This record gives sequence, structure tokens and C-alpha cells, in this order.
Amino acid sequence: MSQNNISIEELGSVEAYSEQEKPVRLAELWSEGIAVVVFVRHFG
Amino acid sequence: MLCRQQVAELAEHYTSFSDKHARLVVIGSGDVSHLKELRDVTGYQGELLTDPSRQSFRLLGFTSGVGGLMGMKAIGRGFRALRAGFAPGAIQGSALQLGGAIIMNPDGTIRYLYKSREAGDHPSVQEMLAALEGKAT
Repeated sequence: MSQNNISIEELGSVEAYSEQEKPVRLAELWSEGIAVVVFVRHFG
Repeated sequence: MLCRQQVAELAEHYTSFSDKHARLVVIGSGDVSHLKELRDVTGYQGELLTDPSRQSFRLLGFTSGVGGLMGMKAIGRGFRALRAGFAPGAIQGSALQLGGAIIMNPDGTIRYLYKSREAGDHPSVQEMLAALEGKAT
């Protein structure tokens, strides 16, 4: 599925990491409900 | 500092998102070891992740380059953030990488998409909350 020229499958397969260094697939964020995902520029 | 100000603002409104049954997640691009510091300085208690590869940023088409840092609006926002008490820390992640936001439905469709145009141009909390109510933005 693609929306706004964004591949949702590819996006969902990306792994981000928690403070405990646990990998989290982005698709898990919205698999059970609406997710508001804010991408910040950097941590500084 | 603009990033810290943005996350602090999200921290203030955290319950507004949970009240609407939405899962709020903040994703940065720095090293995992810096997540705790960001949490400490912003008071953000929600989910905090990082994508050091910035693959998600690229897939979403978020701007990366010096153009997003040089605008007068970005400079003005920087001064306002300083006045608000958000002093700059050591930059963790790519300084050239801008962010944005998505609101995803459980079926994998995008409800809301915002791409920052320059440093300090953040998705509006009110706009995101309105999107959760199904209002056009």
C-alpha cells in the first residue's frame, strides 16, 4: 500500500529503538489503534 | 533547543492525546544513550524512540539539508526558544535532518502528515488533535 508516495509497508518495517535498546517495528505502533508519531529534528 | 521545546510542548499535552485514545510516540534520530537526557530536560513521559539510521525520515520524505536551517523564520524561532528557557544542548542526531509527524490509522492508512519546512517548523499540537477528531487540516 502506498499513500502520499509513501510505502506504508516499508515504513512499518523500519525498526526504531527504545531507551532499553529494544527494537520496535514502526508498524507495531499503529497495529492496535491510532498512533500519533512525531519525528523530531534531533535531540539537542 | 527547538527540538527540546517541541518535546516539552508534547509533554504538556500528553493527556490530550491519550484522552482521544491515541498513542503518542516521539522518534528522534540520535543515539539511544541520549533518550534519557531528552526525557529529563523536557519532562516527556510518553513513548520515546530513536531511528539512528533515519530510514523512516527518508521514507516519509522529510527534508534533509542546509536549506531548512537558514530561513529567517528558523532564526526567529531559535531566539524565541532561547527566551523561553530552552538552551541548546549538544546536538544528537543529524542537525540537517528535519522532522514532521504522521497520524496512522490501525489499518495502515495515513490520517495526517506534516513535513517540517525549516528548523523550528513543528506540527501544531492543535492541528494533530483536530485530525484525531476527524477534522480536515
